[in-house]
Amino acid sequence: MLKYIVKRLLWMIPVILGVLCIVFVLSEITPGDPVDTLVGADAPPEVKEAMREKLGLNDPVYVRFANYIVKVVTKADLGNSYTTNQPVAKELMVRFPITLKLTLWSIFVALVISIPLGLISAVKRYSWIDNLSMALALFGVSIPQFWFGLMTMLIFSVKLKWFPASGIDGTAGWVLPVAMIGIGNVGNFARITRSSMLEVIQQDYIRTARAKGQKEWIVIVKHGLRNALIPIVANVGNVLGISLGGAVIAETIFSVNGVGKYMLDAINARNWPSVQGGLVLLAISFSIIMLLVDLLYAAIDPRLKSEFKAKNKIKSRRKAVEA
Amino acid sequence: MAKLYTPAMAKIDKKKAKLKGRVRKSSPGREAWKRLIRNKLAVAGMIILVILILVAVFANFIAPDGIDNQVLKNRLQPPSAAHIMGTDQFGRDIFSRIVYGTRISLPIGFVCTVLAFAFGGILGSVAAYNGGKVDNVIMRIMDIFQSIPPLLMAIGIAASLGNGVLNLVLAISLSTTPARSRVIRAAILTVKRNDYIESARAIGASSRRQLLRYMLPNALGPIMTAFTFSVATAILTVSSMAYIGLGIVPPTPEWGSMLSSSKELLRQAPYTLYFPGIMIMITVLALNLFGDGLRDALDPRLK
Amino acid sequence: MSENVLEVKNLIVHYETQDGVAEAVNDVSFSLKAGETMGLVGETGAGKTTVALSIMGLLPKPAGHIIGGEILLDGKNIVETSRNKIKQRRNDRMMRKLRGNDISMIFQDPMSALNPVMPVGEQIAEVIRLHNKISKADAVKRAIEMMELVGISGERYSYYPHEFSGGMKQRIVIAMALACNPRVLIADEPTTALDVTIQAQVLDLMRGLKKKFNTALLMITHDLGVVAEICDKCAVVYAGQIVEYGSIEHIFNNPQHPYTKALFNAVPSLDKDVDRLESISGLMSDPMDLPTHCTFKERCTACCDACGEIDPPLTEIEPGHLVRCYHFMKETDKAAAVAGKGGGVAK
Repeated sequence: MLKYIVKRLLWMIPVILGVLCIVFVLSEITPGDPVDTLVGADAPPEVKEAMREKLGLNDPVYVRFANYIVKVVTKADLGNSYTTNQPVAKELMVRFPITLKLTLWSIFVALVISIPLGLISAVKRYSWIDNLSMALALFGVSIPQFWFGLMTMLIFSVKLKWFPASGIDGTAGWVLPVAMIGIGNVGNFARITRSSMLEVIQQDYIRTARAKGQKEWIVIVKHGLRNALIPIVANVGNVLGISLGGAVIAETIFSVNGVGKYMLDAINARNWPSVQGGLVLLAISFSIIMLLVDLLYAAIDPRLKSEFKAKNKIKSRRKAVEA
Repeated sequence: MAKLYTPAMAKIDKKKAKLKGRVRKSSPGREAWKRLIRNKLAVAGMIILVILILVAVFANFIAPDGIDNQVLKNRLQPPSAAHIMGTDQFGRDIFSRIVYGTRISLPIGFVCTVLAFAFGGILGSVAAYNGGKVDNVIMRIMDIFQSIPPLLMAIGIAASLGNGVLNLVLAISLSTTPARSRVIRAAILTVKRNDYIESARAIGASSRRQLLRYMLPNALGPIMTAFTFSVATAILTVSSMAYIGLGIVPPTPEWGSMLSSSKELLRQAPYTLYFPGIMIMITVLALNLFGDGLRDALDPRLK
Repeated sequence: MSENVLEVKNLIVHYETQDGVAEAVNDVSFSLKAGETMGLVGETGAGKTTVALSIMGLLPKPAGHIIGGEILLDGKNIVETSRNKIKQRRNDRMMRKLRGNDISMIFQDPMSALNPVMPVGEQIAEVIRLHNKISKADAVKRAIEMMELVGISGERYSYYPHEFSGGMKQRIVIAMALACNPRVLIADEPTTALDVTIQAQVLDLMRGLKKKFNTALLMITHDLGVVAEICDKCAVVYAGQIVEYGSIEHIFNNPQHPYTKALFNAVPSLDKDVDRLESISGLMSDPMDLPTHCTFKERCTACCDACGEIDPPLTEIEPGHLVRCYHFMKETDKAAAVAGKGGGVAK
């Protein structure tokens, strides 16, 4: 198991390098001169040239790429923001916990709501409760997140004044953003839980558990649910991506000072170092969470763990034969 | 035991394989179609989609007004007989803009998905067909691309390419390519394990022929389902990006972009926000209904 | 003569589906004494598994219904034919206490009968804890004992199902079924999914354990070899009915029903040198659309005109040997059946 973790951690190195490479290429193809945004388009040419020299923009592409990578990797230096002239890394670290919290909470809430919903739907298939929850789930996956955010804001902040329309000061402020990010996932999870549970219920081992004289709901939860959860965990990477993306939009709608809003403001201001930094940070945290999810996956499904063990065994045996 | 494989036998095998291919292709397809049209929700989804397409085609006959016909004295009128969905802050008829919006969301969502499946299809089928090192390299590169969440990737690409429909299409299709390549790779790998591929190889079909004639047609079912859902996702992505001001910009009557320009009116004229959102939802809902129906029809045991 | 542990009387089971009603089991009766083994033989779809699931109270819901008849466990009826929900629920609760404790079942495919995400030992301990008021540690000890009993080292308590071979898994399923020392054990094709060499081992194991616990065993199979190996008596099932019923000697030395004979002809024999095995032509009648006359008529080589009119009852042709065939009916019954047009259920 330890070997697996180490292997996965090592794999993060090419992933991060790849991400840096993608982000660098994106900034290269961007039209417009960053110097214009820094010193103003009508500044005298000498000032512009001096600025360009200072930022190292006159070096050839590969030198700049190498410099960029070395700086990021060795000093965690993502450059300075063009608008505030503060280190991007510092600005991001203030905002990152908020985005992460928003994303994880929304996934957690979605799981808590949707898994029981999908479970009941599967057990009471074709009943009114199944039809109702599947209709809700279908709306959940079909409604545009940002529009759901706007509508809940209209109803709960403007009309009913239950929750603030902007900011996340206090618990009440979190409700609407979390709901907005989570709405799609509720639908998604409920649908996946239902279909995987339907498949599990027909398995022989469920009949075996019933043949033991076990209570029906214990059969469903103890023997069924854990097996049915496997596809949900397998899908969580997808979900995490959607939620992080959703968080970016939720932060702009509800004026939450997170990484997403920071990046979008930076895009509008052509403040490339901040955009790059945000992308790099989110991509790295995404990879780390995916690693944790994979470990969880191995814990839920013992078949995976031993598959990995078996692979290692074959490898070491082959090595022994070769030696 | 071991008999020589004569040309005559190969001929018979070829005939058999041909027959097998034909039977496999037509009859399950017809069965699936029967199941699909028996599914009321799927049919509802199909009808909505057909209506939306008709609206898009005949938009200039349906819309009472133009896309950007600003009549300032008619600003912010709530829904009435003259303007059934009201007017926006520039005095434009919202209903007309909504009608013209069908010409944007559906085609863009469709084209983005086609491109993503084309790029992803090439990568995925090459990876699945060759297996081994080629597969490993392609899929690891896809891993790296997928470590940036698709919406962020699309935002990044769109921001660096600048606004415009073409750039937006490129951004969305590129950002979803890795996920689509996985779908196609998985579908082909499933098919590859079947015996009729073995028999195609036995009759000496070229690798391109094996891939195009045998694997892709048989992998078509799950790919079609994934395609439908992807169009739905693409439409949502287009409108989300338009909402944050990327890709499609005013005065183009894209529904997300309409919401973006009306978001300040939340307190003052909330009706300007209702209809564009409802339209996005109806379109995506129709695609999801159709996709669900397709999935159940192609794999009935899951229902 | 000891008492019957399990007695099935005139069991009728229907599956109600969208496409219609399938008459899966029609008037099946048999009995089992402690320590006795009965084989239930028949081809796929004959209703063997349905009989087993009815006894377990595990008919697939909501399609499966016991329409009529009784199943007596130690003389007590465990079937609730009423559709009244309260009565059904009460019966369910009672069945739950019996399942795994008094009646157990071994399923056909050991590969899928065990929960893949739960250690095998825990799965055995689960049934022990359900029916005995003992501590978790004691349950674990008992489970390990059971594993040793079926020839699996107790050290493998916390191994997962995928770490065992098919034969080993079937041993674990057997350990699980016998863990609470049930009075009746139902084995639904326990060896079909196994290799031939493993089949014999598993049968030996079951025979030994059956003797040790004095369990009544209902062996469901389509393999006459298995019946010869382990059973004391045998019922041949066709289209939801028992067509021949008797001791193992009756069935093997003196088969009378055309279907039983045909079954024996379809099995390769070491004594006789035949070029081809005989197959039984045609298909079994559709349970959705059973004929009112003899169900085997269309495939029978000995059928006559009367077979197309009369549904023959089980007739005792020698003590303890019953056959359901027109040719063995008593003349008086024949006359009565023709007169009554349709005939029937004469006992």
